[in-house]
Amino acid sequence: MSRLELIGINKRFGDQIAVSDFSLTVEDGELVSFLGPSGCGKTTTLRMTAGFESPDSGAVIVDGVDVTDLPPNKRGMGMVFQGYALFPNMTAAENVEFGLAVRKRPAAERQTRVAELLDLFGLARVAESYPHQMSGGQQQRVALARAVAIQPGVLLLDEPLSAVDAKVREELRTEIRRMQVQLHITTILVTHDQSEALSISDRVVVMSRGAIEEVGTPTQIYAEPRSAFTAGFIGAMNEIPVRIVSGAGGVVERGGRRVTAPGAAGLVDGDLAMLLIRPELLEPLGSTGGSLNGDLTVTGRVEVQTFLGATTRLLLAELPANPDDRSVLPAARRLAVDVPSATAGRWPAGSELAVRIPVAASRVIADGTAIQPGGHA
Amino acid sequence: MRSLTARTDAGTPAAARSRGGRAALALLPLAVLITAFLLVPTVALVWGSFHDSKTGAFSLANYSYLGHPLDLIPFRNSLELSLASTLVGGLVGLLIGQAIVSSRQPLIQEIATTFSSVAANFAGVPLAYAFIATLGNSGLLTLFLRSNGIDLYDGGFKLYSVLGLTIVYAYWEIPLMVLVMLPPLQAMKRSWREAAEILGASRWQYLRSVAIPILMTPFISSLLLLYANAFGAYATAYALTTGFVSLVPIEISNLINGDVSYDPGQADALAVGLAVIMAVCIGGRAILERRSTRWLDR
Amino acid sequence: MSGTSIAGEATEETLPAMIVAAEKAGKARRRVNRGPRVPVWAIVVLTLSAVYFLLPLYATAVYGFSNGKHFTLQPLWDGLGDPGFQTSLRLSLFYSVLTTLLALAVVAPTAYMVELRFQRLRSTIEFLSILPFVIPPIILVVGLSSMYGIKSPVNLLASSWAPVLLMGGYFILTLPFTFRAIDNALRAVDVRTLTEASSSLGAGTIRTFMKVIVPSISLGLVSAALLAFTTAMGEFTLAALLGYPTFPVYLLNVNGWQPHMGEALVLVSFLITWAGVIALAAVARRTPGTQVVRGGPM
Repeated sequence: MSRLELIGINKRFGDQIAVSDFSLTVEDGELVSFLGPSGCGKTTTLRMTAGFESPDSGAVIVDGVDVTDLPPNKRGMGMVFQGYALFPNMTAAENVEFGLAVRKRPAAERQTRVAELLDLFGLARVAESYPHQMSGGQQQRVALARAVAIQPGVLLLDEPLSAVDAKVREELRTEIRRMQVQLHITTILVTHDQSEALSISDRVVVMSRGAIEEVGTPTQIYAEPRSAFTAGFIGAMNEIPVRIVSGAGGVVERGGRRVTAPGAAGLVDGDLAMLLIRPELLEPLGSTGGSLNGDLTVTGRVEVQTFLGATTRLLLAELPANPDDRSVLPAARRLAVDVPSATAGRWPAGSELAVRIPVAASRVIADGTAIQPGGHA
Repeated sequence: MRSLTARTDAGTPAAARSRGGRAALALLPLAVLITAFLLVPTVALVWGSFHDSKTGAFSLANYSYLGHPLDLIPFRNSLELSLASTLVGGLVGLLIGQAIVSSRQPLIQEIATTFSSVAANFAGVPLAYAFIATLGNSGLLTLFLRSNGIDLYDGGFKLYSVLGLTIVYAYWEIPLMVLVMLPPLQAMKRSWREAAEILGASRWQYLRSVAIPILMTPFISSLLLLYANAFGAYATAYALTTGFVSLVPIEISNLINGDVSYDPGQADALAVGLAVIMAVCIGGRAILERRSTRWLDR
Repeated sequence: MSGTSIAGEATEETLPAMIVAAEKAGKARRRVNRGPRVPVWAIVVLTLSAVYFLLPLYATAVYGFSNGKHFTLQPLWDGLGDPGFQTSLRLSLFYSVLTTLLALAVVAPTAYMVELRFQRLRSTIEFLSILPFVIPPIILVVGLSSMYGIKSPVNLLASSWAPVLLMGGYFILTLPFTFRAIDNALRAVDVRTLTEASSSLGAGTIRTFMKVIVPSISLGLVSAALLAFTTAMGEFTLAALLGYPTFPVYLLNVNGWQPHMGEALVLVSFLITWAGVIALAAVARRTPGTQVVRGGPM
């Protein structure tokens, strides 16, 4: 319902830089996740958006209106707190009603609205229960219902699922998304759980050390990470050392083979770089027997098989094709290869396996650094 | 192999019983002490309150104080003193407790908590003398005020009056309140205030609808403790007044120790009356505590 | 804030005067960094209460270290050299040490057995250990004196059993605190597993208790000991009314005829209590759940 802009926000606590130069626009009805390890500044940014902290510099703009100096109770935002912060002295219904009550809405309107919301969140049965009588999942829903009861322009979710167990978590996150789409509320979700961020967001903001590392859709963030930090933080990622042959042509070399790889353009000739590739994209050569044109291979010995359900992950220790390679390039640390569990029996621990690296689906980044340092949106 | 035999052996009911019997022996000393020095004296006290101490015949005469307005004066004084010192101690203690929490300085919290433990345990004769040195007829503060033209004693103030005793009782009631209210005050989550704020509540609305209702239970429960504490206090009152102010504990001591007023039966009856008041306070507190721990999971 | 919605679609109407062009907002704004600072009201409250709590101590020191005209430590030396002081202090130490030892020797094994074997008895024992709250010293002393006093057929007071009577009374008075301190410590260490581990290695119950349990609850035992000791050292009601001339009783009498020396000795008594309570606070900080305050009527 609102467009939220965060412009050039900086915040320090004493000598500690909590957030530096944070700029982001969240479109009307969009769900954006702030994703990063703890201490990366994501919660501080959220709290500045809510008004619990004031930025040292920068502005928070809602629908073109500067709210930076407004106290939280005048911002009309909804927020779900880590651990919910339900009022323990009020029933579920009273908790949901609270925001309407302080706005002195007529009693009849309040009742209808509360009943509607309890229904929407499947809470009708616990309407008269107190928080300590409810399960974690129920408390979480009450917290959500309470936050959206005031029809906020912006909804802020601070690690909303961190206190519920894994099974309920997956169920609830789809529910949050369904509700958010249905009500069309501009939403920020702070989380350290990448699967949560990737599964329900329109866009993901990856943060590290107080700054934005990268902004993109879940697909972009997952498939084409632009920084080593993102690549390492999100999902399992293989890092395979390559050498830049021609920065101009985007050509890299490994094991005597030269290929053109995405992302290699513009890197310095002769430098070491990392080729990033997801485990599920590596293809066991025996199984397809396809040609190698334009792709690389790695041969290794299977050390461990890990059963993951539909797929099985093989951990591969690389065997150098000929001893000379070793002197030229460091071996990949360990290579994770995901194969369908049905075929995993072909490569028991100790067996040898050659895999093809589909270079077109990979991405090359300079060794250990981001391509665009602090690449902001 | 040996342990295996032992295990089978211990498994038989007879062995278990003898083991349980020996274990029960460990409870014996406590049982003996509680029986000898708590249960038997209590029974003797209740029994004595219903019997004439001279003839030993059953009698309700010891409880005649319940029907005589004049005999209820000690109860009225004790009630007044306890109420006053509970209110002063409760409100000031709450204020100090919140000041300690609001300071958010670990050092202040540390010093204040330790000092409160000291002061809450500081009662009886030494406290009485400390206040005689301060507010007595020639106490330091009395002399200071007198030299500045304010004469407390000409104004009718007496340290051994209900007002004076209230000031003295507050010296341990306030820190006691601080100590019992600190945990619930610290258990108030900051996110509750923030949740109320973001939902549009003013500071007052938050206090009225969230903070006060949550803290009401532990607050009242603490007041009950303070009340019982003041009502049953003897040493401080006696040392300050040397028995001249008529309070329940002082009347009781006069009845068992005095030469003129010696009447153990009546002492027993007064003690039973006092115990009933204590039981109501402590029982009420136990009930409230159960509710409060549900809200503030400490 | 007007009654209309500040949410969603109504935002613009309710945020008048806040409209600033986006580009203007974009430029950096410096704000005062709000660090955690102590609120002014909290400073005022804490300062005023510090005055109230420290003034009597100061006044006591002024009187205790004066001969009526000027500063001197003479009253203190007189007091410390007074045979009456020395005798009464020795008597107080005697009862305090014995009460402490009795409490440790009886409560620790009992609490251990209750935790290990007799969980059913837990509520009974907890109830019994709250009883002394309902029965403050002034009531207990009535019961004790009518059961074991001069006029009683079981006259312990006039027999060689007299010390046992006061110790028994002190044991009961300190029971709620000693039991809780030791029980908390026991619950924190998972007694059952420790005992099973120890007996699987071949140790008997007594050996397990002395070599495994006692060392692992040592902080709880220290708390219990300090609680029992400071309570007994400062106790006035039982001692005075049963006729034991302990230090607090002596203090009451000496102040009547030698006020300066009395106040000096009050300071000595403060020091004893404080040393105990501060040591207790130090121990309690390392054992969560231990209460520092005695909290019973004094």
